This record gives sequence, C-alpha cells and structure tokens, in this order.
Amino acid sequence: MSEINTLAFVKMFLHLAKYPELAVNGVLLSTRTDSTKDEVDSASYLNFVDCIPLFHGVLSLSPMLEIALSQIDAYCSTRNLTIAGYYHANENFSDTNPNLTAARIMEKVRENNPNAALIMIDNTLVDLDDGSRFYNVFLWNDKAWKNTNDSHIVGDESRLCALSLLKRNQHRQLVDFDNHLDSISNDWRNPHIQNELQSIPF
Amino acid sequence: MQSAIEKLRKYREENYRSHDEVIELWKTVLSKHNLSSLGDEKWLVLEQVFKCALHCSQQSIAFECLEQLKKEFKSTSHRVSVLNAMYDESIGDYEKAEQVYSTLLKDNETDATIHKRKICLLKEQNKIRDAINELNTYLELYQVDQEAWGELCELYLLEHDYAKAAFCAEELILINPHNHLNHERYASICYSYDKYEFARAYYFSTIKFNPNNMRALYGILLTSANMKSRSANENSNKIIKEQILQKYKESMPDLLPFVEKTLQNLISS
Repeated sequence: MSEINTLAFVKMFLHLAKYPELAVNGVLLSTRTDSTKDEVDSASYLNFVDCIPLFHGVLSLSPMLEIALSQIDAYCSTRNLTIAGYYHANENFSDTNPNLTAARIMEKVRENNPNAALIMIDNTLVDLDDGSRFYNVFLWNDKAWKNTNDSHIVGDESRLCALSLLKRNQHRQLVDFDNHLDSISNDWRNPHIQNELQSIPF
Repeated sequence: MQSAIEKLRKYREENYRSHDEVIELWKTVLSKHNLSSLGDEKWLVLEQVFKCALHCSQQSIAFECLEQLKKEFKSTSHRVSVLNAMYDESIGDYEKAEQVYSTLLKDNETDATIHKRKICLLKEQNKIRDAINELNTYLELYQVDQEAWGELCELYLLEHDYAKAAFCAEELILINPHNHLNHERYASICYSYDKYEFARAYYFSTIKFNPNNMRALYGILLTSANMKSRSANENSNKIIKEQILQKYKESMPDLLPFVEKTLQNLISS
C-alpha cells in the first residue's frame, strides 16, 4: 500500500514539465516508520511526503548519483525520513518499461530500503487531462516487480495544485540535482515550491 | 506581439531550449495575430513553433504551423518536406517518414541532416542498436561532427556500454580540448566503469579549465575513495575538500551539514 502527498506529487510533476523531451529521474522520501508497530503492516506501507528530483538527460553516470544519494541520506536522517521510492521517465515517449539504468538504481535504493517502490512515469498521461495518475507504482514481490496502482492513494487536491503551479510557471523554478551541481546556490530541497503550494487558497 | 517576436528571435539566434515558453507565446499571442506583418520572418517563426510543439508533444499546434508552411512553400521545398516527415515521425507514421528521407537522400547523398533524421527515426522506435550502427557509419564520413559524437555517446550510455561511450567522449575532447564539460563527461564515464585513475586525472584536467566545476571537485574525492593509493592523494584531497566546503559556505550554507557528512563518508570509506 502506498500514498503520496501533494508536495511530492507536485515536485515530481514539475520536474517532468521542466524537461519535456528528456529522460528524468528522482527519489521519493517517506516518513521512517517504526517497524515494531503492528496496526498497519508498516514494512510495506509507503507514505511519500517529499520528492528530490535528481537528473535530466543522461541518467546512467554513477559518480554524481553517489554524491546525490549521500547528501539526500544525510538530509533524511535529520528529518526522520528515508528514500522509499525512485521515479524514472524514459526519453522515449511511449516507453514505460524500466530500462537498465532504472534497474541498477533501484538495486542501490533497495540496498538501504528493501521496501522501496519503483515509479515508472507514463509520458502519455502527464498532461493530467483524465485524472491524477501519470505513473505506475511497482513493488518488488516474489522476485518480480508487481504493479500496485490499485493500492496507491493520491489526494484529490494534488492534481489541481500541480496544474496551478504549472500555470504559474513554477516548473521553471524547480531545481534538480543537476541544476544544483551546475550552480550550488540552486537548492535541491526546493523550499520555494513548498512556499508556492502554501500560498494556494484551497 | 512585438515582445513575443523579439523573444522568439533571441531564442532562435542563441539556441535557447525553452520549448514550453515558445508554445505558451504561440497559444496566448502569436496564433491570434496575422503574422504577415513579419514578412519573411513569419516562416522562421512557424518553423520554430513547429519544432517546439513536437518537443512538447503538441501535435495539433505543430500541424497548424506545418499547414501554413506547406501552403506557402508547396511540395517542392526540401526544408518543408523534412518538417513534414518529422511530423509523421511524431504521430508514429515511421514508414512514411522513412520514404521521404530515402527520396531526399537520392537527390543529395551528402545531406547530413537527413542522415541524422534517419538515425532519429531508429531511436524513436527504440531500435537503439540499429541507431548506433547507423551513427557509426555516419561518423566514418563526418568525423568531426560534435553533435553526432555526443549523440553516439548518449546512445552507448543508454546501453551501459561505458567503454564505447568513453571512446566517443575521447573524440569530443580531441575536437574541443579546452571545453571543461568534455573532460568532466569523460571522467564521469571512466568512473562509471571503475577506471578510477583515468577518472581522477580527467577530473583534475576539468578543474584546470574551470576551477568551479562542482562535479569535478566531488569527482576527485570520489575517485580517491575508490583507489588503493589513498595516502598519496591525502594532501590534494584535503585541498579539494576545503574548496568544496568554502563554496557551500559562500553560496549555500543551509546545505553545508549534508555536504560535510557526504565528504566525511567519502574520506573515511
């Protein structure tokens, strides 16, 4: 079972909007749950509360990925968060399958969090015309990736917020890790996006 | 309207990558005005909007622009035929596009743009191996085409064929040896398939050309963490580490604790 909040949803969406013709990827953070709680099967309940966009264009070079994951890990430990998901949008418009790069990065993410989810973006649904779902959520179960879209919850206001911020051209303000490495005054935590969201009346 | 036109002109001349902004200008301003007042610039604008529309998968806008161009330049125009074929590609009519390109090549075998469009056709159909083969054939003739070497490098990286991608990156360094980005790309590729000594050497040459290249500074410490001769590198690592921390102190102190942790992990790993 998994859930995504508006902030994570919107940041992921804006990353896609910023680079419409390129492959992009990033990670989703969830709250660290105490695995001894037995009300919910907390091991497989993922609550995505934030998103850190990583790269655009070429996604298969490892050095900067290592730096990014290391910094994000350090950030997570100060906020009781954990890297619990990885999203990947292929450059090819109609290709929704995880490629070698996605598989390798997921391997790395699952080393630290075996319950992490793989989120493959469906480029054909990104205009959010018909609904909120623009990606497929996969969980590793029984040595294969199982589609868990049916048990994934998206809040009603996420879609509206995403479209609203897009209209305000916030996708151009979104910072991914590549932007940060180009100029470190670009903050990959995107606090300005959070502020924009808070200024939406509904 | 005037400011929209000026913006588009700037993007054309300076090769900006602002596709969604161009589409927005088209939707809100340009499509509502008669562009004939621009004279010949009208066709450049239509072509520009057409290409941006394809980038953003806005086929209907692309079609609008294409129709206007076809009306003016009829079917004899080579340039418009190519745009037409690009539109066919975007709606998935690959065979039709292939036919157009083959016909155009018969007229002029040396047309590099058409060769490249045929390679794009393969890439769009996810025939990456075929695209790589065709691109290699192309590069045997056009050996100094930076764009082509760059694209071949990316195609190899898609397949995780780092050794061949490294070869392409080397060609790019040969063509443009002072570009720090070429050195950094080569170094990162070398790192990705465990050639740490090479990676370290080229990260250093990157900062020779651009001392502010953050990826190279991080890269030097990363390579050191993976190399056995660590003690020899201690002094240079210390200097690089200080440089990184200093830059964050000046530009982004909020992120400093996370960077410090990262560097600590690198040096102690």
